[in-house]
Amino acid sequence: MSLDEQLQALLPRVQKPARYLGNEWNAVHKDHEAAAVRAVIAFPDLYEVGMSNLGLKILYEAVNARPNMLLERVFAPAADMEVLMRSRRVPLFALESRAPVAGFDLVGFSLQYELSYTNVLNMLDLAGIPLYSGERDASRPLVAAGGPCAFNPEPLAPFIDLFLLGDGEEALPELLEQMIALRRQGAGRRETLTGLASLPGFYVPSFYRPRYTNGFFSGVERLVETVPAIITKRTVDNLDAAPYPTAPIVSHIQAIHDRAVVELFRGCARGCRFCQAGVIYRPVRRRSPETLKKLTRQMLRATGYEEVSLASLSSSDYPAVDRLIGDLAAELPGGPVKISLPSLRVDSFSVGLADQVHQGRRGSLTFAPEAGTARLRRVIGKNISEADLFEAAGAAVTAGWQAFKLYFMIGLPTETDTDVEEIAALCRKLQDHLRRAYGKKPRLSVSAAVFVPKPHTPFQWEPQLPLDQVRRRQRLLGAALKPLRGVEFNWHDAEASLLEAVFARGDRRLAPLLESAWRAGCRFDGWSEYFSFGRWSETFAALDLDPADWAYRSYQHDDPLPWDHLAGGLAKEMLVREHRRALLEETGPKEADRDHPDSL
Amino acid sequence: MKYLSHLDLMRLLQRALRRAALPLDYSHGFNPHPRLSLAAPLPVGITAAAELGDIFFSGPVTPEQFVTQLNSLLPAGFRLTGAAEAALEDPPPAALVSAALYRAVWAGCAPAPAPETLREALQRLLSRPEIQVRRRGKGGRAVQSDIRPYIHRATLLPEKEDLSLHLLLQAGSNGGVSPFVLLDQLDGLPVIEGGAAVAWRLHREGLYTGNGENHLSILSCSRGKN
Repeated sequence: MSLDEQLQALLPRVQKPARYLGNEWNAVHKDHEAAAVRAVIAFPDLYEVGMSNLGLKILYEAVNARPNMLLERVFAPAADMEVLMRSRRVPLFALESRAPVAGFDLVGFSLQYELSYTNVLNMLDLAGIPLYSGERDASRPLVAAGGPCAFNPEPLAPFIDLFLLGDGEEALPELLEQMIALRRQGAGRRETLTGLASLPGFYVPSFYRPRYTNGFFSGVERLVETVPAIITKRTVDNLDAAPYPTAPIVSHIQAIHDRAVVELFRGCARGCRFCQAGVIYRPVRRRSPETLKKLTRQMLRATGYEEVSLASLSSSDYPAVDRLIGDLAAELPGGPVKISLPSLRVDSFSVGLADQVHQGRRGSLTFAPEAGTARLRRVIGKNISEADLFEAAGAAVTAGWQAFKLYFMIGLPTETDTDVEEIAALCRKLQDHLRRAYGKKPRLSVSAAVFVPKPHTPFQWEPQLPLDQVRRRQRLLGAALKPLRGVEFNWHDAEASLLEAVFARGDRRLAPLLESAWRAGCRFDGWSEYFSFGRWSETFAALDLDPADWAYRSYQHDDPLPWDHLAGGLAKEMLVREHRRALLEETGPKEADRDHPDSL
Repeated sequence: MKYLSHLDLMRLLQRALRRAALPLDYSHGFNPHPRLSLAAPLPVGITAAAELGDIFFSGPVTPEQFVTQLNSLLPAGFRLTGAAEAALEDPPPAALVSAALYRAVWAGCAPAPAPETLREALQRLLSRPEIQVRRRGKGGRAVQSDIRPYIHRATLLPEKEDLSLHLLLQAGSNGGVSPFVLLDQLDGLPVIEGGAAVAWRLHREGLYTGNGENHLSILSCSRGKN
């Protein structure tokens, strides 16, 4: 039975069968015979999640624009589809051609967050590709991975042939061209990896061996002389000239974000100390207003989307963003288009922007104070005062906004119970202020995530707050918010956050644990319906491993870190300095202090 | 394409219309969208030959322009077969629809039952005064209802190659039933894993207006008018 026939029998039996079709408007179907190299991007989550990912769209465009190569897509099959695929031996297939993933030359995983790692293993298994790099010979595809987690990918190292650090739109086509050249030279598996390891930004983990002393990570040694001691990330300098998806695929089913996305700039100059994105995406690189307008027009014409999102890590920081919005609103073709502007700062200017783009009823506005006290906000480098928040909220209610979403974190370094209780006090003060000064009673939604210390940030040496403490502070916050009227409280699962910290700060010793957990049935760990802490705990116990060794490990500044051989973009001395300043409760880096030419 | 839900299909058409850069008329309110409606939602998993809809424009567009332009902007598997101008005061097709004609063809996952077996199963089903089924109602809750009144006609077609049936079922604003639900009620047929959705291939041949025994194809009505 051909795959098409098999799918005819499968698709009527699964939820959202349109996830598996591959014939969306703007999907690129290329002739496999005509391509010198064929790659597939494997997104380790559902179709709806992956189709909202901008990186995937950018890579799709960058590769498919070239005539001698092709890039197709595959997403993690939903649980019901997986059951049927396994029982009927349907191998994981790429959407566009329905060719088995195992037949491609390169399979590239997009590592957006740590809890997707079991899905990576599951997809390799569904594809019939041996899990371990060492088990794959030249007849198997090369398995690569990129995205934010590539900056500490050690828990996945034995399973992946090579990692890409940094921007992919130039690096991926370069990798594919090199693969063509190496194949022409008759290079075997090892020569191919050696050749690719010499490309800037690529990390071949099998050429490095981590060392452990007394149970602690003590460094990485190179097994091959020609590879760099430290891998530096790829950075695209000129975003105006870089490939960008002007005809992105229009998803059949509603993706999480179903709209045209224009990337204003990459990187962020704010310097928040907990934020990894601010480090790994630096330096800041902007697109010009002309480019942005052109891209927006092209995208809308090619897709018919009703909404365009002006995306970046901090969109209110784009110079003259209000003028850009005004120009776009005036010039857009094809009917009314909604402009959305996520990731806004907490200030009245940003409220003005939100107001400029709103259409109709104003819903909820999101602010991210992250900490309840001015002291703790200084520690984490978030320079927002109470007055800033009140002023922004005041401007918002005046303009007609009726609800606010406030993001906080629990477990930040130096946090005390008071800091957490003050979150509730801040909400009460805000409500009082808005009632007295404006006569308004907007709804508040407080969302509390759990702090995860991330590599390559000033807090990379800090431990995560132990689980029982996190739970205690979550309860504390819940109790403190309870007396307030009109406040909704949402909190992230503490156990899932613990696992996130384990893998974010993990080393290669976690690889067998990952495999065991997957074999025990762990999948879609980022989804609360599937995440099973019990199963993970049992797996840790069975392997005699303790999550505390990674999540709760507190490092000294001169301790070797499992990710030291991967350069995030900021010299360690700068991270040390920022860490020290944080502990002294000094405010975040001011423009004058920053010695990188990043200020917008 | 048959795997898209009605809402997915609406979104797909709306975006294709926007790509076509035609002078669309947009709805008012907070989420303006092109004024397009489909006459009757097509259940997931069913192909169709003659679906109907209507669209409002804010400027002059000929039916030929509309069909040609839109067809060049629709993904494979979806095509407009024709269009005609309607008077503003005409009732929308959605208001006219009272029934839908489906052809069900045995999909061949298992050897087809003998035509007699199928005929007898149909007779047994249709002779029941009531056919109670549980379906997912609005909001996802299971709802029990009698679908017998929705079945106007069920006839075995003269066998050419494949075993096939015609089903004329109620559709439109007075309620209806999916042909899959009906087919799942037949007894005495080979049991296929996945039920009727896998056992039969369904195709909606047309939409009808009228009541009781008299049904007229809406398309032929409107062609008659022109």
